[in-house]
Amino acid sequence: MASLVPLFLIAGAAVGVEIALTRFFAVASWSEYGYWVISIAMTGFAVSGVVMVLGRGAFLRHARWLLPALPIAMLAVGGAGWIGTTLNGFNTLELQNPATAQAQLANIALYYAALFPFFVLAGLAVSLNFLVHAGQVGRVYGYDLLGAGTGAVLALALMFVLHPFALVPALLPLLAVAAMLAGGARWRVGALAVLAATEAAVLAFAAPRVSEFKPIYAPLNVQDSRVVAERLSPRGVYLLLDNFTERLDTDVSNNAGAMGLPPPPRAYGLYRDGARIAALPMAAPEAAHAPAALDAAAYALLGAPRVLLLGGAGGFRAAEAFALGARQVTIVEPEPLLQEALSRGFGPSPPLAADARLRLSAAHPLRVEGRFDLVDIAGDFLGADEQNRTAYTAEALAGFLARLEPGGLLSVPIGIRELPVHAVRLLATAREALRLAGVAEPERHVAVIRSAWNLRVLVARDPFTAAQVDRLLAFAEERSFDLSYAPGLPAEGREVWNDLPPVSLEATTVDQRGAAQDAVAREAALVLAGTPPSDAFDRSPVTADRPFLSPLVRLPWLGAALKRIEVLPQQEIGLLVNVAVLAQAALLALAVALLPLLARPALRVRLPVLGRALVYFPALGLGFLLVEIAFIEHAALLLGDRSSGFALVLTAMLVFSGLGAMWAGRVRAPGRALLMAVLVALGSAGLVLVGVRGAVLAALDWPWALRAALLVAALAPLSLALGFPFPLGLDRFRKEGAGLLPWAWALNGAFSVVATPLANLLGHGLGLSWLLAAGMACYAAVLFAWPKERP
Amino acid sequence: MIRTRRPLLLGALAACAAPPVLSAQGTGGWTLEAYLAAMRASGRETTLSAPAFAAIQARKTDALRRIEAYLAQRFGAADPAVMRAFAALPREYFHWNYEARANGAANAYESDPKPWGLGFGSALSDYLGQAYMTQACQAKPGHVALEIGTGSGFQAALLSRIVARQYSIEIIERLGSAVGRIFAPLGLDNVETRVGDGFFGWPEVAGGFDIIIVTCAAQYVPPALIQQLKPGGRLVIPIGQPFRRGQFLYIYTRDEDGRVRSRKDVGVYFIPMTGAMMNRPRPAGAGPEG
Repeated sequence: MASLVPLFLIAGAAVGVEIALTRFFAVASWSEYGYWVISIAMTGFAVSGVVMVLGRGAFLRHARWLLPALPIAMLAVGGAGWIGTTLNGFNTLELQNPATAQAQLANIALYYAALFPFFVLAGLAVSLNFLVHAGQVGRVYGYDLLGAGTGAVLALALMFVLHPFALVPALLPLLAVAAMLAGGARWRVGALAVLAATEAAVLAFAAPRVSEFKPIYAPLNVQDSRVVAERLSPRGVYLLLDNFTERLDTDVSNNAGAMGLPPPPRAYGLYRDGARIAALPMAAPEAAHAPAALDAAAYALLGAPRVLLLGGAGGFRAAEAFALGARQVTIVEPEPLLQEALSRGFGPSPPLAADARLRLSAAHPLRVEGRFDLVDIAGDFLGADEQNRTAYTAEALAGFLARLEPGGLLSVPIGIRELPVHAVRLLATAREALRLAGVAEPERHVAVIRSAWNLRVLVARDPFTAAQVDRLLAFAEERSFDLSYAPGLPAEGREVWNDLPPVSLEATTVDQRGAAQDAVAREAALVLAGTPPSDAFDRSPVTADRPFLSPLVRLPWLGAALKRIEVLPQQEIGLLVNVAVLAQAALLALAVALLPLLARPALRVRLPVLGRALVYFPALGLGFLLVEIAFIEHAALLLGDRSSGFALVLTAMLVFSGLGAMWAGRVRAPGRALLMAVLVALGSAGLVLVGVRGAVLAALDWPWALRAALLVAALAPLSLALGFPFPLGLDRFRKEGAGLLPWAWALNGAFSVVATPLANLLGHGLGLSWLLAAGMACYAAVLFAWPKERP
Repeated sequence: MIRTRRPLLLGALAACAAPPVLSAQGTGGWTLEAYLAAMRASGRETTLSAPAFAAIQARKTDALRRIEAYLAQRFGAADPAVMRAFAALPREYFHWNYEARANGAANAYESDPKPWGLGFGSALSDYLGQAYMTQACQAKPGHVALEIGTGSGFQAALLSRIVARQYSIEIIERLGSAVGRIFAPLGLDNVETRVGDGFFGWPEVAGGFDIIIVTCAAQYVPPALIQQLKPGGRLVIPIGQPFRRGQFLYIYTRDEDGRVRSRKDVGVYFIPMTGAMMNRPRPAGAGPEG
């Protein structure tokens, strides 16, 4: 019995390289484009299946030398593809300009050209193993999945020690080992030679670099710029910079000079994957600028408050809070490196100084305990960590409201520099939070104060009094801020310091001849009354089931968004990219599905069986990924970051479904086994659907290891069951026609490609529970598509 | 469209006051030899064929027409001073990638205006957007202007054709030191540049500035720049990534009592409404315009 270890290694290398490439894109370019890689990989697998369908006979005849040759080819092609990828001059910013987008589409095509061959060969290698060991489908699938899971873990482990630019070259040797195990002495020598040549070429020609248009570029390249600390992790590459551009970055009034207040102080700049996430203090943090800041608005209404700060900004926020009169401060900082910087310091930046009034809490923002007069979210909180948006859901805000003492306030910031509509969505969320908290008239509990570029929503436990509104007005007037909304204030006719015209996708004209406008003021009253304007932008509240502030553009308005793409900020472009990828994936899936019409003679199956296969395998491809992506989102919240959530879910699902596949290879009654498996899967998924939010919330304060264990425990039975249908199906359909095997593989792959952008659109547009429900529907369809027993 | 006489009068005044255009080139005007000599003098030795040069000059006329129509559509009328500035400057001289040391002159005055990367994270904005920005600055002949973020130098060059003195600061040393050499060979002798931190503005210029342009990545405007803004002056901040088709402009002005106001100019994306034709949809339930 030939060894399946080469298959294990090939699968591991393919998944490892896939994950390494997503990290490359995140560091060199922007992370939204990383999942293209996954799309390219899946496309490669799907096409390999098509090739295998058409050339099955030839592949089987030459299997003896193909088995060691394919990993060697993958090695060479992988190295070349990596070099091509690093040399690609792709500039994602140019996609947003119709005049320059064309050239960038060509660059995207070059990415496909560079990476596609590697994944096609990987798919061929894996499916060849399926063909050669056709009698042990379960065992083969098991090795495949276990190898993939191990590859994921290996890639993650390497991220702690290697820079993302070194990951792919580090993983390629796995392929050499696979070739050496699959062939004889000649192949071993060949494998080593190709490995040496590939790594030499990579060393000589690969030139990965951080895009010159990322925020870190300028600070890194001014005179006397130094990197004073560095940290590698799967979360990102952290760099602490010291140069003259680095200052605490907080929105202070343009009248600060007139008020006699200094600008924000110099600091170190902390960057993660090239984007700035915080300023860290150089010595004890100074806060003389604090009274001029937009953040100070809430403090103007409170005397000596007990403050909960979400986001510590390296210690500056605490200093600001004390400068503004806080008598007690609790800091919650979910970003692990920022937490570490507060408690132990980072590089030359010192930790928080001991202060009896100051407490650094280790709790998760959604599990904070205690009572406060002010819950103050930092201006950079949303940008500091991708998961911090879960604090902006209506449920989370309602939770903070419940922590407030009488007279207490919640202060929530949002940027309005690009699209003011984000603020309106936040207002809708605040209204929903107040409703959840049992407040009868939400419009009396909200005030909105803003500068030209940032806005704060103040949500009060008790209705705002006229005296409070007057104090806010005076605070705003002195600083040239605008009180866009407060109970009792007329929406129009007041002086506006910072003109904010409305931005809409339908209009091509604007009226700017008259007095300054306030687009937020106009909409605030409507939203708080529960009658938001209805146009291209989604103003519905952010909820725990749909914890996403973007995209704002509603899907039916996609055409308008494309026509006015220059008006949209970068995060909205992600939606458009998703749709483009979905369209391409759907075309490919259609092509693969229709393939039998071309290859009918090669397949030799009855039409009803073809029809069933056409439902069975696509549903599997879709269902597995829909469930996986839903779990990744929940895991990201549970574990605190998307990378470890992704890795753990991927590994657990691959490993357990691999075990399930091996088990499936041994069952005596396949039809019954499938029924049991699908029922178990539906049952566990149903449980998750109902209980996930409560379970995640309850577990948020457990030690990381326990949380990871909970995740694995939730995934294990489900994944075990999900491992059954594919090998059972392959085996069953193979009995109908041997040619169905590679076609099934291709279908599965093609529909997996469709699943990722589809899941993104479903999840962001409808909510995570819909994702899980859609996955469950797919597996139910699988059950119905199982061929009836042959007579 | 209401044409007032103000821009025409101002244009006439500007014609009297504008510094001589490209006087250093001599009476021959802008020829291929002049271009190559200026490029050499600026430290960017290059070659360009005669047909390519002629093609660029031919495209320039169309481009100027395009700019004029664009400005007229958005402002009601194109500022003659802005048009003269564009006419006086050879845009091909500014199409240079400083990192790759590559000549992009063949791209100048393209019929589909777009931004071009210059290396070192900088970009030459499309000429329509630059025309808009220049007119939005409302530059006058006696003005003193400051720009933080020299980039290609084209914006500084444009303004220098209208105002009395133009100052420009670039924070990236390799870019700023190279671009600082390109103004003198064109005879733009009222431009002064430096490389360094723009946060403190240019305090040595007594009296401050009528126009300040700053590309701002931070959440706040450097207070020194507000302080160096003359009463009645305009501080213009373009917001948005450099490869978009145009940008939002935040325009800051100071009241007599020192308090700062801001206007968000969206004119690059939204054409101003003319007359009674209000086709912007109102949110349901909103009252009459304030």
